[in-house]
Amino acid sequence: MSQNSSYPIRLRASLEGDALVVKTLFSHPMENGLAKDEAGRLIAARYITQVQLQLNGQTVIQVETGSGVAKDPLFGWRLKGAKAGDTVRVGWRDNRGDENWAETVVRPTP
Amino acid sequence: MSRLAMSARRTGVSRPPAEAGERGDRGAVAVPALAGAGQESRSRRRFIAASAGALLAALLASPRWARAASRNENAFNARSPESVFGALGLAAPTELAEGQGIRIHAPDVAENGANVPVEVSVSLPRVERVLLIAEKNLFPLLVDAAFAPDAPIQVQPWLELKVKLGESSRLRAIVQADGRLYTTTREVKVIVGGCLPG
Repeated sequence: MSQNSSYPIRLRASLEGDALVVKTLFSHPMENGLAKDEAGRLIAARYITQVQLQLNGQTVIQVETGSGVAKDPLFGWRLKGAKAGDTVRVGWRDNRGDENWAETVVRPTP
Repeated sequence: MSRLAMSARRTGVSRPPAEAGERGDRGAVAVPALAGAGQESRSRRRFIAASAGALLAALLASPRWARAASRNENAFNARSPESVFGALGLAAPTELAEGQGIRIHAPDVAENGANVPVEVSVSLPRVERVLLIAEKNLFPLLVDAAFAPDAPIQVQPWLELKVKLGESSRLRAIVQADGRLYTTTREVKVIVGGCLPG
């Protein structure tokens, strides 16, 4: 279970009214194992299988994903009741056991 | 790196070697506690709701990727919507007209099937789970999202993501709300398929 920093995560959590909108952009090839390279060889499957969102250390959303999720996947969620200063943590894990996490603190609305 | 090491240590502390038994016990406690509200009712629906709730509670209580081993590989490897349902053990959901309770936002025509933006928003109470299926994809099940129902923070039943569509297909959202299953579909036309490039 290595932390794979070669696939970075972009994470944004912003308060919009009473909702905290969390958007993440994961860099990940999401290869489904069916595509071929220029030489005609199959590209090995490599896709995210799980995504988690934690708020202040507690898991509030867990998504299991298949290879049908697009390359460099984007996810968006909305949470009610979150406030400035809360910690949002998002992570993924792929079928090879690689994972990456990102964390941000919710800032007050200006 | 240090964060990962720290959490690994924390996991080690909170989970002594008797891990399996401990977790099993917790699960056994959780079921009656959740079923308590309607204990006299032995209807299947409540049972399913209670066991799903207990499962979710157990999952959410455990740190990190405790659920890793339990991703339903059969469901994600299933090659038809019917076998996805079978692999997940889902009862037949109530079909809702488009926009009634579940709304799937997606383009009518997607030029590039490799990257189709989809939004699912649900206006049903107590949404616990949202699944998305592309009916004509080789592997139809796209995502299976579980929302913590009783977290101090309320998760709004809304999900945004980008998916691949191999060809023009119906997108089907399945929602578990208050223990019941609902579903609706939306047709998306795809100009260039996104599953088998080359």
